[in-house]
Amino acid sequence: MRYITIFLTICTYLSLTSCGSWFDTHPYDINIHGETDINTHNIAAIEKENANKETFRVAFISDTHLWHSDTRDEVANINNQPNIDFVIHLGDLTDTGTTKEFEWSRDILQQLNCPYVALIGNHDFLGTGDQTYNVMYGQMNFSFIAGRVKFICLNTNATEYDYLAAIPNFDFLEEEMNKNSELFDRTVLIMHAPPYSDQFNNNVCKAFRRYLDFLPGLMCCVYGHCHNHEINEFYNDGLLFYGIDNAEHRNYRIFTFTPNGYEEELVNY
Amino acid sequence: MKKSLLIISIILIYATRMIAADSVYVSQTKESRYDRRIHRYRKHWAALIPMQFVIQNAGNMGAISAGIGWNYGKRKQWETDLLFGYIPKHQSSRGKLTTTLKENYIPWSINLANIFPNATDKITQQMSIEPLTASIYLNTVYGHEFWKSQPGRYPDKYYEFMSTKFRLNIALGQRVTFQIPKSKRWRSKSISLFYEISTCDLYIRAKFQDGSIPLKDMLGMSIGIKFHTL
Repeated sequence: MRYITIFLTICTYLSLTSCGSWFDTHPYDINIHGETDINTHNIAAIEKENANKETFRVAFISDTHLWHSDTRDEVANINNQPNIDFVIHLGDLTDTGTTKEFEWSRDILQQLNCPYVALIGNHDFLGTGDQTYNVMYGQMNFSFIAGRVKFICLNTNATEYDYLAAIPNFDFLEEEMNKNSELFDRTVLIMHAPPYSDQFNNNVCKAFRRYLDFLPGLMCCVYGHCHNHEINEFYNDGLLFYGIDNAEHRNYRIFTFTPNGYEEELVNY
Repeated sequence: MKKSLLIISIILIYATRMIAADSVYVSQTKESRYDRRIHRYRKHWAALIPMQFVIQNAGNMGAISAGIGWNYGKRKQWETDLLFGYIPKHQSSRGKLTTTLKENYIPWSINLANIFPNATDKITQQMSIEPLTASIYLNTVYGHEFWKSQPGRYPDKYYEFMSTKFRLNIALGQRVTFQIPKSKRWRSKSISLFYEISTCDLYIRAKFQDGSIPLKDMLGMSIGIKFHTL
């Protein structure tokens, strides 16, 4: 009897460690199979390939949640577009933040022919989702430079922290104003939840706008979360906020950055 | 005369003492209300003595879970298990504990000796197979990152569809049971080996949202052992 118990315990342990994908520990177990630290790898690739480009094209997608079929079509459509240099996903990679959902959306996005980075959306915080994002993608606030344009990706999901954390992080914004200032002249600010939305810390909406004045050559802001493709001027001062639609509505935006500015088009698929 | 009287009286005293010592008082033969209550009390608590011990892996309730269980029903076709599981750290900041309340339904138990009456080998004599087990279980995971229902910081019905703490799972499986001969019993009268294929509410919901999610990604395997004590 005792030997049977010991034997079976060992068997269970072995089966558990050797073929982990057969045995599900828990939806929120953060037992990630496959690639991790994606933003770090892809930022290195983006910065290398676009360092000397004057004109480059970026596809912005967002809120793919569990609309996998639509996201696959979106990826295929981007792959058929000429000269897309990289893709930015604006958050809500998952619907309930489970480890498997993160793997599912990652496996679809990895079908892209160009490198991509992803921001964290409010749904990606559910359960252990925020920790999974940290392992799979990296820091929640990050930036990179392509063709002398700095892309600042900012975590604005303040509600997820009950407004107790520094969200949006003004210190990070301040650092980014000056960091590597010799390598960029213009800035694009990217976030999941826009000012005045249910996730933003709306007490600091106007203070936030004041900080943006110090970002060198700020061209525009891009956001997701709202599941629509509106172009807003939240502060009525000429600064444009481009909304990126969710995957279910089957449209996304392509920005072409040129030395003189940018062109933007809405792509339906 | 006097002498014989003395002897008789001594015998009588002895006899009376013996009878008195051996007799049962009426008040002791009748069960008092107190006795009945105590009997019931003992019987009810005795029903809570675990009848089975379970160890199983995975199944969305930890890498490994162990617990106690009870069986009931005319053919003992119902089982309730209370399991405690451990989720290893993996790539997160720490390991986590879970508790699971699991209800099993085992509609059939086929004794191999009935199918092969002429077989004489030990295995056939002692083995029975349960071709189907159906289970439903509620799992709760402990940790500050999980909530029962959405906290007050969210607007009304923001994440109304879910709880991150409680997971409802369903499973289908099969098992084999070996009777242990009386002479070889240690604590258990029989041992069951089982496997289950399970999925949880979040994956079913995901499958409804997008049918392209492969079944093998939704379903998980679990194997375990059950010791039947009572």
